[in-house]
Amino acid sequence: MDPALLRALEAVVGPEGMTTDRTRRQVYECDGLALMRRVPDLVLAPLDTSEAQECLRLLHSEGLPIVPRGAGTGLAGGATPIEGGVVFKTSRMRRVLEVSERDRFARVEAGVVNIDLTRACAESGLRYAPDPSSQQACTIGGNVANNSGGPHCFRYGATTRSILGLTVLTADGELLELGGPEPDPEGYDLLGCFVGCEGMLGVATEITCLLIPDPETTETLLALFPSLDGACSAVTDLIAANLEPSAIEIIDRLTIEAVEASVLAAGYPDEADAVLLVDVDGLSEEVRATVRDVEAIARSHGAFELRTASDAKERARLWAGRKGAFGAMGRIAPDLYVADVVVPRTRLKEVVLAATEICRARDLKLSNVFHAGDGNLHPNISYDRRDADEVARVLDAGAEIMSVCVAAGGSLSGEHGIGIEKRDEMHRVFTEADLDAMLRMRAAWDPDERMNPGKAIPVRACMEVKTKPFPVTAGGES
Amino acid sequence: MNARDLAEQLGPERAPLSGVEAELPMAAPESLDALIELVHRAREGHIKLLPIGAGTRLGGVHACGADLLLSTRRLTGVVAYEPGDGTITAHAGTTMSDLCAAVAAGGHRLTPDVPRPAQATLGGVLADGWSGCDRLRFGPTRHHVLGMRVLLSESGATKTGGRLVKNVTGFELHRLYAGSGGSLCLILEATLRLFPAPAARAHATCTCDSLDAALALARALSTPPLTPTAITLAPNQDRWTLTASIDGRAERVTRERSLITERAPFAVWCEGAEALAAHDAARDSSPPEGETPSLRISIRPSRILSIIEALRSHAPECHLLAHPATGTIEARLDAETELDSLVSDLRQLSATVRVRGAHDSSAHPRASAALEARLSEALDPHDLFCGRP
Repeated sequence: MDPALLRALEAVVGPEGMTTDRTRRQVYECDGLALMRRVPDLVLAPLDTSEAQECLRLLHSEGLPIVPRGAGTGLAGGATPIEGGVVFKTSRMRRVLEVSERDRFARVEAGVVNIDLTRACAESGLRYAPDPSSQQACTIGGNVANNSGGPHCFRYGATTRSILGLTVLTADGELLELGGPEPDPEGYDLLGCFVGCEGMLGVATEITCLLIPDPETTETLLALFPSLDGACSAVTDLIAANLEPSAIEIIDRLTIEAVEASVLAAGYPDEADAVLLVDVDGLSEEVRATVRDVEAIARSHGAFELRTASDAKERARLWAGRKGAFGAMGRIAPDLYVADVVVPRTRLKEVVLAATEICRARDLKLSNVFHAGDGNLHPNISYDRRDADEVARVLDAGAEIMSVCVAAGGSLSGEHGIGIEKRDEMHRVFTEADLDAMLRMRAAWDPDERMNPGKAIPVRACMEVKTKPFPVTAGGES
Repeated sequence: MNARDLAEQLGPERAPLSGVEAELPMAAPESLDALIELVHRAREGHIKLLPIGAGTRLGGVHACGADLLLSTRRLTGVVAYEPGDGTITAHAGTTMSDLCAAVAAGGHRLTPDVPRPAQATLGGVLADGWSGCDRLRFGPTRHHVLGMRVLLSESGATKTGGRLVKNVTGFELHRLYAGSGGSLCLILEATLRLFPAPAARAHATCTCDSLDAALALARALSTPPLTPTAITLAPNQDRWTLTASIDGRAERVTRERSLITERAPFAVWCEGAEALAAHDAARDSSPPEGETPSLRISIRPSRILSIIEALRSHAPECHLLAHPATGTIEARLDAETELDSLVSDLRQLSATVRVRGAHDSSAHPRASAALEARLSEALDPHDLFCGRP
């Protein structure tokens, strides 16, 4: 890179905000999708919006790709600098700027860790609803970029429903204030358009988040099933019965074994083939009635034991086990391919069965832990990335599972995003005209396509082609 | 070919629009093919279109430069409703009351709960973007639009989102289209998330002596653990009428009623069908758009007092309905109100204001105006659709 530019950037962010050393840059070669990697040319970590804006203005003249990055916990390669350029990380922007108890919002910098926001407003009896499994590490800015989900988005919605305002910088350093605490900003819903853009429209530096009151009562119910089938059928019936728990999760036997063997042991029973983990919150009378209904439906589908968390500590332990499940899978194999697909809730059982068969046919080790209430499946395949043949079978199985989901009326991603992992699968659900409209929208924000290039929209033969194909690498640097 | 000829040839519609004297010719094609053909010909003939539903919110028509109103009111019907999936997909011209009836059969309700649902169409409501009175419980309308099929002037019919309750596949263009006021596209079809139909309902009406007292009560009724579906506030001669609708499981309604009674012992209650009728009446007291200008005002709830005071000071006789717990106000002004002065004052007080039925001369260019112009140009390069967000 141009030494003069590097000096100018260092003058803005200081030495602690810039990483030029190759070994240290290598840390940013991928996010949670380790199959595809590339070392960035530079890593910048501005301290606040002002520094970030100055950096983007300086970089604009060089025309370098900008890859926004939160904590790097994404699982679709969204933060992987596949075309090189500058990784623009928000990890130093960690201030909670304002908490308004009266109007129920908080304004934070993008690098604030998800769980820290809820901690910051706990004394007010308020909380931030989106709770991705990675909430101990992932940032609010990353959640915005990915429109992240989590178990409790069954009731409270994905990130987009909890975002009121954004301070956004575009590729050329233009600062935009989108939305805010007022309920309906004038003009187009640019905020809604930005959330979930996977860093391809700009980088959010400050975020105004909706806070919701803590419920009067929360009950956590564990239903033990002799089969995964039974648990899936119970969920389909819970939805059909119009019950309103706040979270409905399924954990299968292999996952239970991994969790129970880990430091996150939650006390999940080892005699079940599948466990249904349900949170119900609200007014105490309403919660009691809903729990009764959930229990009745679970029993009708073969649940042989029902347990309710006795206190907040046990409830926290059960959820810690669920949210730590992906990490615990490291006990089974060195690597984990976390598929993320979504299907209509009436088709849960058949798609879970199909995924099982797909992996069995390829001699792959499959475990399931997923947001059943939303139809958001995570068929997880344990593998070893050093085994090229196994890697090929994993990718093949992943593609086949996607096909089955789309054929069942589902879609490619429920919460992890498209990134590079599923970019070329977009044709399965969108036509050329659909994708063209997305490109047109993107071009309005970022005419030079410098923000996170090579993601989410596939390269196409007959339309405008502005992104380059990425090199698929299994275990190596491109 | 001019707009009137085009309307005559493809989908003439002579039925008057409800409550609005439409001076422009209007076409309401009976089929999607006819509509696409009309849009194609309009594009060829440089005829500017204003997409509308049933025309219940035509305040935005003012000086928009349209040659022809293009209504989707004849494109009706449910495309897909599978109760077990909790979503419904319908054509844009389907009325909100028809949609409500369709989902009620499967034990569901839908949001937004808009005024005069027998006239309002799905496409019109989404293009308009204003939320229903149930926003307090469910949030804004745009949060529950899962996907759309729209007609773009350049790309033709395109899809965004899907029919799934959770889905992050591709950019959420439907968020941009919702509330775009027919300025970017013509909405053909949309999918909404559904919610369980309530098993029980109750409705409280409280009369307060002052605006201060009414707002204090509104705050008390929206303080945890209470979560009413709607709270409305309207002037009633020298006093103020506050209503609260609660619904859901019977256990919930019983408890919430008890909590509200503690906080407002003077509340007058009704239940069941009467509660629904009372709720609908409060909802429908929203001022209809008409010959005089209307305002839609948004403000954070803690600042709503100053906004209502300013509104009443400038326009003592205005017809207003406030949703104090969400910070939204609808007001129809009388002919004597000095619009610019009022709107300017409201903006000084940090409110966002949308003026309907008149030119908004006190509007400052938004910081995002350049981006919005680029979006409009990118998605409607022929400048065919001339609504406004």
